[in-house]
Amino acid sequence: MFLSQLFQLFISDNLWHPALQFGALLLLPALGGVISERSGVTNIAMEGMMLTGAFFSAIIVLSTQSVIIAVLAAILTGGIMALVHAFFSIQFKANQIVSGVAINIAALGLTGFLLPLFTNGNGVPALPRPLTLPALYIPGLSQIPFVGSVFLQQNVIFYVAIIILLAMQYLLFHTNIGLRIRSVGEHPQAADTAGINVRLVRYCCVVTSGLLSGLAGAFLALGVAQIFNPDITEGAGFIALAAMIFGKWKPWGTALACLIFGLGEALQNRLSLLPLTGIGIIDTPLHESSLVAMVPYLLTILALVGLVGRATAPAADGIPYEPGGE
Amino acid sequence: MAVPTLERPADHQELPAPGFGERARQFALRVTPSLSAILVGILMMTLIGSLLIMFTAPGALGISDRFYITSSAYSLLLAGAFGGPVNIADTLDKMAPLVLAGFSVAIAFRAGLFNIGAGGQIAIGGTLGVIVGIKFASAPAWVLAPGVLLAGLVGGAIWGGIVGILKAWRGAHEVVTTIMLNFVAYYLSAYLIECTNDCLPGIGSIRVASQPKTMQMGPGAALPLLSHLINQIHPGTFADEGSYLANVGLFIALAGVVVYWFIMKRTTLGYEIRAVGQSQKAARYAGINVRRNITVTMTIAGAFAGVAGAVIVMGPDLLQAINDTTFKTDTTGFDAISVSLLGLNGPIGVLLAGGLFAALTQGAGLMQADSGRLASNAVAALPSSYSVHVELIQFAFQALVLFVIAGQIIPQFRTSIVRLLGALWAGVRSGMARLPPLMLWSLALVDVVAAGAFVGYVVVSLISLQSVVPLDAPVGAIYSVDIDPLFTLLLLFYVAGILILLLTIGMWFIGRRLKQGSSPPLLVEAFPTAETLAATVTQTPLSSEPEAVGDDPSGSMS
Repeated sequence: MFLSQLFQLFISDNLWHPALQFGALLLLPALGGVISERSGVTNIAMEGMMLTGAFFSAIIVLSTQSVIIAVLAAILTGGIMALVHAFFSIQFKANQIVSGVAINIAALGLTGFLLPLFTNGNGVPALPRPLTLPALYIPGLSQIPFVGSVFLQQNVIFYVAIIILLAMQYLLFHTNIGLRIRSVGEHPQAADTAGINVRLVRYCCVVTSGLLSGLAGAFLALGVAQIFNPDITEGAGFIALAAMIFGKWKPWGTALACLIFGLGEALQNRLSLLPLTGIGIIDTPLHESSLVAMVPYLLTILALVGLVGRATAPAADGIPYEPGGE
Repeated sequence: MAVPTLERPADHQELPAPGFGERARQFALRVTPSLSAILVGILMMTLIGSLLIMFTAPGALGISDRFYITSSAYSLLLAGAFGGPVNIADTLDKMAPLVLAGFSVAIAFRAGLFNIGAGGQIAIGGTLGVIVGIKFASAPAWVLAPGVLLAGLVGGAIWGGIVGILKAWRGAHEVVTTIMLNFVAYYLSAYLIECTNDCLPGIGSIRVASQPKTMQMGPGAALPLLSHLINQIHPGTFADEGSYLANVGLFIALAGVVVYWFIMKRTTLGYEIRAVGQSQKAARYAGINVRRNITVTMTIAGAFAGVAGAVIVMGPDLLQAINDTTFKTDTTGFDAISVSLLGLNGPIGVLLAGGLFAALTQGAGLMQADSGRLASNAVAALPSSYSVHVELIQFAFQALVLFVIAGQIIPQFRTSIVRLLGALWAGVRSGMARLPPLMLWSLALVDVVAAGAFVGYVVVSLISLQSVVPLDAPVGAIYSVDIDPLFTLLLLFYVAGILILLLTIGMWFIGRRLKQGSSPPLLVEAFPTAETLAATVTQTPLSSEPEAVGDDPSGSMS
């Protein structure tokens, strides 16, 4: 009975549609983390960049009534936060973890401080439909029973995220630029000797991660939640960090990890709605959803310690580059 | 290759044992940096906060009006935190877990580890404490209360120890594992609370407005209120003892100060922790077992946070029961990072920083509720709906913490802060200075003036508020207070703050010119260098870890 219900759940689009949506939300900052850490700059500030992006997208969409400007503003503010991180960690050779924590604190403080100021203490109202990111229905194809409703009725940003995933894979592993980025992250001294501008590459990569995180923030505020509140991200940036590690700093692996974590999130939401009376084993309201919610984090720890395939970071990840060192 | 000799040079002389005066001077040298850091912190924060209030007050207002609004907001902030016995008791109640969790972050920081996991350790410690408190609810207080504390300590220690083991033997970066373990802890705690009837028979799970909640712990598990204890000795001191929330948790926090100081300064372990924090490579050469040390450090860090969790659940705020979102929404573990950074990881510093943070949180409530009314009585142009929001003060505090972090993570900048703080206490330390004597003494003077202005400001503003505002008046009462006499003092205060800012910049340039040499070792030691931390960032196990390269900007610290 329970198993058949679970099976029903697993083949329903009610589970897979939100799973893919949440997965895409994680994928954007996670890919940002991939390119930043591939270039050798540890980035744990995706959470803060997402929050800033979400905040400014909501504020700008209310003041300009234009979704496009709002998304661009979110991308830009995410990029600016990343630029601060890059400036600290590349220019000043600061400890990148501390800098990341500082960015997260700053984002929390900045949005918390500006929110009552911009909205006269009322907070952002639920956004009306024209001010949100629309779902994209592909005529005809989106009517296919399972595939259509799961893959072809997603939010615009979902498709953008897929394109960025393909582009990132191509960029990192099939172009000269990708080779340079990876060499800077593995052995900056050698890359420098070969004539690559280490600092420039790192700046570009960190800022890219900020742009992607800002876009994810806009997706969250304007597409998924359609509102802004100060704790809107709820650790999504940290799950993205986990997905990046679980995906072993590779775009495809990261995408798979995002899908798993997104599925976990959707499953957690769905499980608590499942009618479970008369099963016999469990006659109290279901509490296993907390256990399901734990899984992504446990998997990440296992990946980190090498039990689920060893995750090895780029060799120079987190180490400031000293010209002429070594 | 020359073999270093161990023979003493001919002119070697045994140092005389330090006398009382020398020991007093040493003590002053140890304590003053923390005090100065907090003082500069308060100054900076007041400055940031007042500028924010001044610039964000709406309407066409003159500069004196803006000053008035600022000073009334700050007066209410102070009144909310220290205005009366009830407020002070509330502040002390909030302070205890913050200080304990602050030590959790601080001791890890001393070993070069970044413990972001205090939140998770608090959750596990608190949950385990609640389970013990319910299971043995009938035990007498002198057994139950220490039992719950011990359960919290053990729970936190295990949760912290996991991080240490993963770091030491598998090279898993502690920042990532603590972030992950935080979430695991929140959900584990929620799971245990939701399913207590099935998983832990006898604990019970009741639902209040469909939210799962545990039963109450035994009455013996509640930390006695200080007002209650005082009433036991002097009956009738406090009429309504239940409204003064300060409790025995404060003494536990003070005991934590002693324990932390003892571990760091009086034991081999503390020495080893500091050595590992300075350079893992050097520590290994010196024969220190780095892996064991990392594990032990994280276990102790977890134990501190676990006790903080026990103090939270045993305190008067939660009524000895928790629900499934208690720890997820509790920000103590996160705030502890700020407390530890601001307190420069010293025992006194963390205590003071915890007190400051608690006072701000406590005072900001009254400020948000009443500042608009208080100010709009005197400033007609101000809309009566105006209020200074809690978030503003939080932002000012976070901005301050960012400033401190910036000082710690940017080598050039760090030197300047170290130099500034060093110069502030240079008046007591002879022969330190490469700085011009005039600058030294003028800085010391600014320090004294600023401290005096601050203390005077607190006293005067409390007296002037006390005279017109009954502090036990309900929040939202209409005040008609005239704070004009405060302006002179306030101005002095701001000027002192701005002076310190300017001098910081000046010091920065001097610091850049001197580059190395005279930075006081006590302060630099409070934080591992960026290079040491960078060396611990790599994912590889310790044995094959490459040491970070590059010149050490604070090479004088060893």
